[in-house]
Amino acid sequence: MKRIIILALFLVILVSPIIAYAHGAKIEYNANMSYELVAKYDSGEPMANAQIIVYAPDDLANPWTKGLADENGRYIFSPDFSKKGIWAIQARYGGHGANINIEIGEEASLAGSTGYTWIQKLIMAASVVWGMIGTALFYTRRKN
Amino acid sequence: MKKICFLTALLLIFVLVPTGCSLGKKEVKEVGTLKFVANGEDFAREGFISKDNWRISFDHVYVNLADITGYQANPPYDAYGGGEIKSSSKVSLDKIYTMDIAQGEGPSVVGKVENAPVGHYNAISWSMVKGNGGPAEGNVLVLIGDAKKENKTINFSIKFDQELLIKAGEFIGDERKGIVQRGKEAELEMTFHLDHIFGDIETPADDDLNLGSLGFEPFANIAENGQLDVDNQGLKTKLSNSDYEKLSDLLYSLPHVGEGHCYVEKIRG
Repeated sequence: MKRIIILALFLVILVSPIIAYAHGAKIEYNANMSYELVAKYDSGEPMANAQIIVYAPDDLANPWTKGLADENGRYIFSPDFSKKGIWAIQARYGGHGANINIEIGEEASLAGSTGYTWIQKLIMAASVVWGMIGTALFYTRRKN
Repeated sequence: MKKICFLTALLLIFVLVPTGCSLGKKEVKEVGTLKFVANGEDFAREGFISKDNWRISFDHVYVNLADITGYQANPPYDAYGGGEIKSSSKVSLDKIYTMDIAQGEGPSVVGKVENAPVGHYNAISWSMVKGNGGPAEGNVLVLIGDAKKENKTINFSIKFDQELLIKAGEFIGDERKGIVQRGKEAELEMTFHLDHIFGDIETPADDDLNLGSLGFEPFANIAENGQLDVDNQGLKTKLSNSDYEKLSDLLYSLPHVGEGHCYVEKIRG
């Protein structure tokens, strides 16, 4: 009887995962951030079916992607967030055009500066060297 | 004391030698050429039919341009917001140029800056000023040509003298402009949309361009014996107040960068 109970328990343990996963489901997610743009004329009318041209910051001359806005002037795109800098998006239709710039990433990456002038570097170098001299003087001082 | 002198000398060697090297090193500046062009588009070069059905052809469209400057703007310039253009680098032409944008088969070259630092010139500013000489002397913009409708022909010479300062962001068109690479040439364009004044029959009648334009009829109405030779003061006197005000406002919408709009303000003399 004891054996039967153990076998039954074993069977339940073996089967139960199968039962549990037979109707299993899972959800995975990726954070794909998108930008929704709305192109309009000065009058406020939507720029329906406008041609959209997107330029990434790493290739200024060639479009990263092109597309068409919908009848409400709406266009959605997901930039490559590894390309940090200013993304330029142009909307054009029938001789009218508009441009918007979207900054992606840290501002520091746009500045393109090392941050120190040569005078600042000179002062820093002098401070370090003078510190070394001070240390040397300390160890070579006369002993009373 | 000897030691202090020695160590101070050491300090000077440590500091001055690298500095001297740094100062002596010639900074290699990467440069290319930035070309400025003026473009009246096919409207100026080939003519067009106004919204009120006048076939307009231009013999000359003179425009006086000055203070032409290209910028590597950071942040990018927003012409709708106006204000100053902030830039990391800028280059300019320093003369007054009288351009006839009705001539040629494409944009007219105004001038070139041959030592422009490389980078993206994503903003431009220029002035439309009264010329000191040449065919547009004393005026900012001169339109010379004829307009035909049915059996009527009007020869016109229309002159405008309101000086304007124009600032704009990036060129909008078939290709991206203003990208100067080492040893190569790029261009920036000052575009002038004459259809904004006269309208365009090929654009829908209810389009903002046609709704906002004056057409040619008001000009035809003030012509005498098929001739219209008028300056800004004459326009003010002869046109109706509403037409003159509309025309004055339309001049602000004339300058573009391709299809991109500009920030335009009066220069007060």
